[in-house]
Amino acid sequence: MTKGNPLQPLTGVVRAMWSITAVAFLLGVVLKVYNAIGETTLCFTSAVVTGQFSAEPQAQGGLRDGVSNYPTELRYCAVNPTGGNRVLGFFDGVPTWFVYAALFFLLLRLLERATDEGVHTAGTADRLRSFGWFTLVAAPAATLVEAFVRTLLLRRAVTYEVSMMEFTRDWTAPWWAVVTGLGMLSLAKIMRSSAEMREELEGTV
Amino acid sequence: MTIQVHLDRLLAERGMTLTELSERVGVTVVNLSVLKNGRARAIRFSTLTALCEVLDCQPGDLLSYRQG
Repeated sequence: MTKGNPLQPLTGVVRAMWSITAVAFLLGVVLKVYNAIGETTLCFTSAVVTGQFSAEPQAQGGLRDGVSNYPTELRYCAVNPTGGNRVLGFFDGVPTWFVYAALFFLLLRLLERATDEGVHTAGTADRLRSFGWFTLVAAPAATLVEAFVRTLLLRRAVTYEVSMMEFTRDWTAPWWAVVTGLGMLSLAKIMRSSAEMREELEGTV
Repeated sequence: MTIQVHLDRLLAERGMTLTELSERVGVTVVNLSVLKNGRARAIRFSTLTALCEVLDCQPGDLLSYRQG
């Protein structure tokens, strides 16, 4: 009786996701570069809604009595952006795409090497720990960079004062990455123990 | 390594080869080599019992503890 590969179908799904995210990242970079060079308008969305917009309900039809709506996000478009703004615009989105592609690459490498070398090995534990740290740090860092970039773009787009600390209102921490990263780090410790147990078993006569 | 395995000496004293011991004990030559060369991390009671039976010895004849 063949046991089969215990890491399937996960490896297949991750390989497909890696292909999709890698292509999306490359296409995204190409499009961003094209837009940065060729487009005459730079648009970005900011959740930093300050100044005159913050307290004003938006007068729109279709609301029942007693209901009001407020903008939580605004889309800004600058015509003929400066070179600096074009560079900033490039970094609004690209870091997250890169992190997604890199995450699937690391996960795929982890699964393929685990298939070849065995699941309960020190190497698998090390790669799982690297994957955990990357997930824990890279995803929040990428979203943080993008929030900074959007705040900088906003400061250059409006006439009123916008503090750099406003980036915190535009930053949504990717809690999934924090929880997953911490989980992977714990799992890596468990894998390290199981690798030691495997070595013990293999050295038992 | 503080636990010494004296399989070599016992085999020589009894004029027995590792292959012959392997057949009589029911443990592979590879595993017996691992034990003989001091690379084993643990030994089962069943293996120890079989070795003592075939070699007609006590566990203390097969294993000894050396400080350091």
